[in-house]
Amino acid sequence: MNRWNHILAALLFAVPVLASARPAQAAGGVWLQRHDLPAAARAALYSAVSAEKARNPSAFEAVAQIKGCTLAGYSQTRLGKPLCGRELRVGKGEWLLPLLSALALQEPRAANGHVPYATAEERQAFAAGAIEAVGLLRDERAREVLHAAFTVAPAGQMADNAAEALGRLGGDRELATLVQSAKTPVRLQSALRGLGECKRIEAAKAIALGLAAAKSPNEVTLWANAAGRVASSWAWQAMVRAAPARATEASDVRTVAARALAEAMATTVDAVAVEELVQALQMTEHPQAVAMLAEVRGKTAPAHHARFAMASQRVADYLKRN
Amino acid sequence: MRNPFLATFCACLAATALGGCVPASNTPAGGAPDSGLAEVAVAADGAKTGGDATAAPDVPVIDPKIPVVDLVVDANRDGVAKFDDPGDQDHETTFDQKFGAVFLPNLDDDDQDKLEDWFDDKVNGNEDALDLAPIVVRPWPAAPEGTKGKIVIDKPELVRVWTKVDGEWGLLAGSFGSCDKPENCTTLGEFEFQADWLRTGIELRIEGKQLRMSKAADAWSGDVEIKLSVTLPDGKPAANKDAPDGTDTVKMRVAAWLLLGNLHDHDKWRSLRYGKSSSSYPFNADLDAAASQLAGKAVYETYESSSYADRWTQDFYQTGVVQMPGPGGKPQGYRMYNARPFYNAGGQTLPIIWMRKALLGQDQAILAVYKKPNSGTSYDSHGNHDLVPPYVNAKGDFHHGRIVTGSGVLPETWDWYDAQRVQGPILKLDSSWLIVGHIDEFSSYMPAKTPRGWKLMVGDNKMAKGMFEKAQADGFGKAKVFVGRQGFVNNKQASLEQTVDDVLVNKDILQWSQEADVKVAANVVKMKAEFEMNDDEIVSMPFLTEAEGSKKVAWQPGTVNCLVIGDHAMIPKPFGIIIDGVDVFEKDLLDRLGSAVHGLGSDGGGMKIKFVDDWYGYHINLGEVHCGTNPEMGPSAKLSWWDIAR
Repeated sequence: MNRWNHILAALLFAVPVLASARPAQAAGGVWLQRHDLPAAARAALYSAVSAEKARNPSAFEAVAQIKGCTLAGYSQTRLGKPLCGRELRVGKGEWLLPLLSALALQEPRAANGHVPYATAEERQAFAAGAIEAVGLLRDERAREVLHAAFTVAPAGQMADNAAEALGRLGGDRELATLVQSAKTPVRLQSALRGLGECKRIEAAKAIALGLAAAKSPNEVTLWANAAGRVASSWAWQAMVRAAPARATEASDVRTVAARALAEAMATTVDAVAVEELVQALQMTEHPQAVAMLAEVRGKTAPAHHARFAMASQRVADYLKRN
Repeated sequence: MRNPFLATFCACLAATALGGCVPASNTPAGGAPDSGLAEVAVAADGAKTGGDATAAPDVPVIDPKIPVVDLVVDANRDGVAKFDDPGDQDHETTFDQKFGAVFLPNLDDDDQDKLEDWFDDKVNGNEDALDLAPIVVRPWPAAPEGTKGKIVIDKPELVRVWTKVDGEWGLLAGSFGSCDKPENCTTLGEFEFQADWLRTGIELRIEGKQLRMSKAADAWSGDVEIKLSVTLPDGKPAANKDAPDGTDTVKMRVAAWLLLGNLHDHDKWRSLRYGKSSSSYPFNADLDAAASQLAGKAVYETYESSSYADRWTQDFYQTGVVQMPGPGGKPQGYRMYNARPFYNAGGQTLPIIWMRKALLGQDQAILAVYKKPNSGTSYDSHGNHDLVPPYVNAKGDFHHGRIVTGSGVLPETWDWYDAQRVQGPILKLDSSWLIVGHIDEFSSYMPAKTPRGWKLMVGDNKMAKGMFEKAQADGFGKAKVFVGRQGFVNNKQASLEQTVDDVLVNKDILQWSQEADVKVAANVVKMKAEFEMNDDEIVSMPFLTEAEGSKKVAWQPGTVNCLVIGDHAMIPKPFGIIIDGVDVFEKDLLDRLGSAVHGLGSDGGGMKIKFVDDWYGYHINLGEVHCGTNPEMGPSAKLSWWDIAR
């Protein structure tokens, strides 16, 4: 292969990747460039990272050594594509600052010079996994980085992951960002990924309103999915176990979501959207879900009753399953 | 032109183009065809067997002057083409559940030269001859000198027709040449022969070059029509009451490929072999132990990474069988492996290239159905393609099983499956919610002593969650899962152990598990409806799920993702909750699946369960035992697909 062929091959490979990836910046991290983060936030993060690096350098080394986004790592997986979010979760809170540093300040590099990705695709996969891992920690120190990550992310997986991370963080600012973003068609999907993870009654109410106003089967599907996740009975059981005082909120969220889903069944005929409504209702495991469906069914024309019968049966069967 | 028999027919080819091939000597290569038969079976040496037509006691005496125009195939599927068998004679143009002749595509490599047997212009030994289906021209002992016969084949480009002269096989019609390029292929759709061949009769054999590949209207139906015409010395048709126009036509159908599933009688399974120092070696060690238990029934065969560095043995090829009826009720055919379109990340060669080296051989064939190398996605890995065991209900007859796939399979693969006409229409499930996207991540099948004969195994997050809750309620909240398991980081130095209490306050794991649970439930609804299945025919395999992005994968080892060989189940070791030294998840599976509780196993007494440690080799790499193994079997009377005619 001569030099021109090398260049051509590199361009052919790079173009589709760069369409969704952000270019590497010497002065930035794997996802955020220097100017993406407000100066004060950047300075604060730099300070915290420096202190942590001095205190616990092995955490930074460990993050730089993960394998799932290297060919040697993902060639062993069944998917065969770079994927390292699960691996980046292993360090839990100890890896928060190394991950924030990698995302916003400085690309990860091991002491021996090793970088945990090589191609643009691998680099983006690392960034996606890092954002997700950070989000799952629900640590307020990540707030500025996650907001910036969501702001700069084009629609797609990076935006979805950043939105979910914001939702998990779950403060007023995050909720407002997600609700506002849901009003923009290009951001709708990502915003709903985030709202579904925002386990608050305000999020549930926003989703209920959005579901009622959804204009297309695709929109119904997206809103319904968010409703099911925000009201996930299993997630709420875990939260109530950890904080029993949230029991009332859990009940309220599940009720708001279940009622909205039942109401949406009245006007939804698209098979994919109906299926999503059913599955979301199952996610709520609301004890009154079948009754809610019956109530809404009573307001609809007979032509719609078969759909309600199917949904009621599916939800009832799911609720009674051992 | 290695076969001297063909020298004569080379001239015939040119002559045919000018108006018909009539060898000057009247018989190819100067010999007489090895015939004069009442019946023809496929013997081990490929030669005819059977009696003399004139000596057959139940054949009525006929006027020798009455022309005999009779082409016979094995329409009654007893492996023999007989003149005097009404089953062969009366159904020679039909194909239904009881009657209809079959021929094999000769795609295995009996002479082990790493080329498919049809590829060269010779019969590659006695084993190869067994793969040729019989067609017989009935003798007309009194055929007058000057009488001519002619055989016409309607799809000569897809078949080859042979006969044996003086003990040597020769190619009479069909496609000649290797056909690796168009210029290397010549097609001859007919051949003529003289009275001396008619007087002795002719034993022909036919082989196909391919399976039926598509059910599209303009694609080959899989059927071939062969027509015999006999003319008298005066050029008029040699008519009789059964052949008033002096012709006789038979039809044959190319054999179908059958996909294999859990309830088949597998005699072998494969996986990658790791070095004993590898953290993945326990996978081999546990399967070696399982193989000891299966001694005499199935063998465990492994390949080294130096041969093919892909541990996902289930994924890069699909096992199946191609067969036709054979003598004595023993089908004739071979194993056929269908390749995945792409190689694994970092791999060097497509699966089909390795398969040609490692799998193509005697009674073993390989196939690439895909249209473009390196096309497709993870959905085209064969862990996303399975077989529902046999069932029959008002919705359909699937007594040879039904092919089931998840989302997103290449259209040519789906088309090819349905084109086989036996195990379709395909049941399509939703696997799009999984990271890897394979149906073996949530469904499997095991034998059971029930009217149906099997039960559906499904991944059950709800049950797993309940097991954690029970452990906590019983006072074992500090009990741990994943004891001794490490994962992912820096040579696995990070412990993944968690307490029951930890898990039950982990809202992410529980939400992801619930999302998976409703997805599995939706698939189960579809399967229950299709199979007309009761709840007690569904067996739960508990494990919790995690996610990356919006897609899911087993968080605990996905126990449903298991290898089933007969009454043996090789199940991923759960590394579940340890209470008083006992793994609660293992105990549950042993108690339910290994006993009569669910009536599993051929005697209903339970499966013989072997837990396989797949943690480092497979589980943390997004797969489990089924993904890393691939079982197979050869032709069997149980795979007599021709009793389903669609």
